[in-house]
Amino acid sequence: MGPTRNHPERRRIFLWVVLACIALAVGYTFWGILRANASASLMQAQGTPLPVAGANELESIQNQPHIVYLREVGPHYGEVTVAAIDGSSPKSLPTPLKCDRIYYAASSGICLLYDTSTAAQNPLTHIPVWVTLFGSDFQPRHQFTIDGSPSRARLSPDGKYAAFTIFVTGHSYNDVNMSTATILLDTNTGASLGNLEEFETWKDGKLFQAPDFNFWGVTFAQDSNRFYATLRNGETIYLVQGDVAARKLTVLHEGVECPSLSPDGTRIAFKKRMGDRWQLTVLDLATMKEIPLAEKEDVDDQVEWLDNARILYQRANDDSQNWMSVFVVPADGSGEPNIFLQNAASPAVIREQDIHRLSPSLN
Amino acid sequence: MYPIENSGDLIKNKRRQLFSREIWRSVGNTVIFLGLTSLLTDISSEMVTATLPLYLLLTLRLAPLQFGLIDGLNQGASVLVRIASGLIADRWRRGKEVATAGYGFSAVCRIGLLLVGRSWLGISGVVLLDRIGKGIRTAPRDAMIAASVPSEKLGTAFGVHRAMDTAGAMLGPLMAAGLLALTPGSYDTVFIVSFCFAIIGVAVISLLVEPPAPSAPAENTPPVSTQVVSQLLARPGFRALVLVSSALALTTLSDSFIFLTLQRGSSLSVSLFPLLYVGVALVFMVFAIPIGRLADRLGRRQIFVAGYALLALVYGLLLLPGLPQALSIGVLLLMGLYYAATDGVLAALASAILPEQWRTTGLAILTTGTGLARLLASLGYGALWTYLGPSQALSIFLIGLSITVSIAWIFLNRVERNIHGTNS
Repeated sequence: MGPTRNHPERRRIFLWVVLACIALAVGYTFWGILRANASASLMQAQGTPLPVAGANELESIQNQPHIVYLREVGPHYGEVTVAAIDGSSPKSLPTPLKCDRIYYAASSGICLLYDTSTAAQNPLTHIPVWVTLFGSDFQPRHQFTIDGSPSRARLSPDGKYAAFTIFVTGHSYNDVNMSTATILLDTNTGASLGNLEEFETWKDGKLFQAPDFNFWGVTFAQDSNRFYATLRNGETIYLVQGDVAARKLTVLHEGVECPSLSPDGTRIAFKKRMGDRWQLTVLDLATMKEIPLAEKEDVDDQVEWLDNARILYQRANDDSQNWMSVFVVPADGSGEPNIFLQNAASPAVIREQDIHRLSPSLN
Repeated sequence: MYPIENSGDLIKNKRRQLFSREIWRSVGNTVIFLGLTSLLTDISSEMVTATLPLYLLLTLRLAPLQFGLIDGLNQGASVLVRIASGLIADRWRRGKEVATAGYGFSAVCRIGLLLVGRSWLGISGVVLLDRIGKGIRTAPRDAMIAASVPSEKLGTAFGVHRAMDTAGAMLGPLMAAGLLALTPGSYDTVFIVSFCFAIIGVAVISLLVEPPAPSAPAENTPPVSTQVVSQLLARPGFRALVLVSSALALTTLSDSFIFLTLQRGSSLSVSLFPLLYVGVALVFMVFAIPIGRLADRLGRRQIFVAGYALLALVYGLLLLPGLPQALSIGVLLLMGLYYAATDGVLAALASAILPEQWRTTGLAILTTGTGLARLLASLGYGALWTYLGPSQALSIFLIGLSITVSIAWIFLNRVERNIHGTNS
């Protein structure tokens, strides 16, 4: 009566298939455990530690134009590093600060750290991100956790406001939902000034609202109140200009993701969607003309201006390993990309004019 | 003698109600095996769904931002293959083979994910293939369930299947979490183990499930064409069901919209979203079988329409200002009950009125109609929210759903009377 009884040979094949699958699953899992242990010891052997900057040394680096970035190799992944403006003589810091994304301006810094130990082991529970605000001594001043995964971080040039973007990933029966949260912080108190979704958004002179607003990639203007960011509503991506004090956003342009304003405030470098990759592009704010840059690889980053003529950004190394390096490319579409910092990510440039700017939080 | 026998029967009946083993036996091996295939396949696919964003982010270092863009495209593709697979399955009486191919597609995708590496095009392709596999297999599998049980047990049979299916969807993420605890960061282990589950699922349907014997000899099979679709839609009972279920779907909010509204209303943390899905799935799983049996006894269309009345109640609760947290749990309970009363019950309703010969095609038409209507509902809700604001949008949906529920009640009643009239 049962179908299996009519076909004993089918039942036998079924049992063999099940046995083979169980053997593969169990065997592969054991091999995975072995590899996890082996790669942990390999990681220990990989990468050399950098010299640690003493307190005086750190101060002398900070008195010149310099760069703050993260290391991207083996056990030193995420270590905060300082170097001269040309990337030479890198030093690691005396503080144990580790980040997945960092930004620094005017004696103020923000660090986002994904709590991978929790997240990787349990995708069901919430995924905490540590948000740390720190001072010029790289010691945490304010710290809190938020659920999601870290993406972008920026500070206003005066160091007063911090902005960061995290992904809030949802889980559903049959689709992967994506949403972002972009939050402004007062670096002095560590208090939240709100999620950009709570700001009023205006488009063509009218109030613009929808259930599926997502903001990301804030970049501040030199006055530290005006800022730019990306807004996605449905399938459309906009460039918005914001005002922190007025808590207001205005739609300016379309197709601009992860904007980064040039130090002179005339241009915005961003990633532009081209088929299945992002093309680094510069938008001239006076003419609204777009210039594609010489980098032809896919770049998923909010770039940083080295000066008014060159752009720094992170992308995967060519060696097919998943580590990042920081590259440099001219901002006018000429030339070609070159490696600026090997095995590094999340560069923040502190220029001559930024050094003597006093952070209000130091008063 | 009599009283003793009666009490014996009484105990037997009580036991039958209490022990689901009896219910499971009563629906037969085919339903159990098809349920097992769905359970294994859902473990496999949910293992990947739960970990894919983390894999993209932590291992491939790709931001999950692009993922939303891909998803809309996939839903469209899955709709296109549904009716085609239904027609092929019916015309050549190869429902089992078509369903097996659908499950096989998804199994291959698990390995595919490892092979494509960092390429977005590759990852999108694999996800698309997975969705196409799902589109191919759903209707032939439901037709096999329907063919394997007598008409009066359809609700129970679909209830058993949906309960097993949902159990798999809940076990998958747990499985993935367990594996990642053993081998931190090794997502290839998750994908390989997921592949193994999928292969066992394919083995169950291909080796253990007996293709249902056609009750009527298939000598006068009409040629496969779109005419079949219009002929099926010309049958009054079926046309009414497609119209009514699509109209109801047109006023159905997706889970994510309901959870979003719930989260805004009662200031729940967004991180609780996964738990909300688990909560609804748990209620769905627990009540799928009892409500399926209830549908067989009391009438499927009553239960089906009552399910949508529960959904209207959910909208009503969401419109309450300052929803207390306790009522949020009520919302989850109602949503689970709504799924239990509508998902399998609709398949049972349709199976009962469709001609056995073209049942797969009919089921495919039905799910295509409701699927498209649901997509339109999401777009419409988004537009209403944009122009009128959240609570007005929800109010309009509540009014719309109340009207369609009333019409559905009258309409399905009338059709039922007509069918019974012509039968007797």
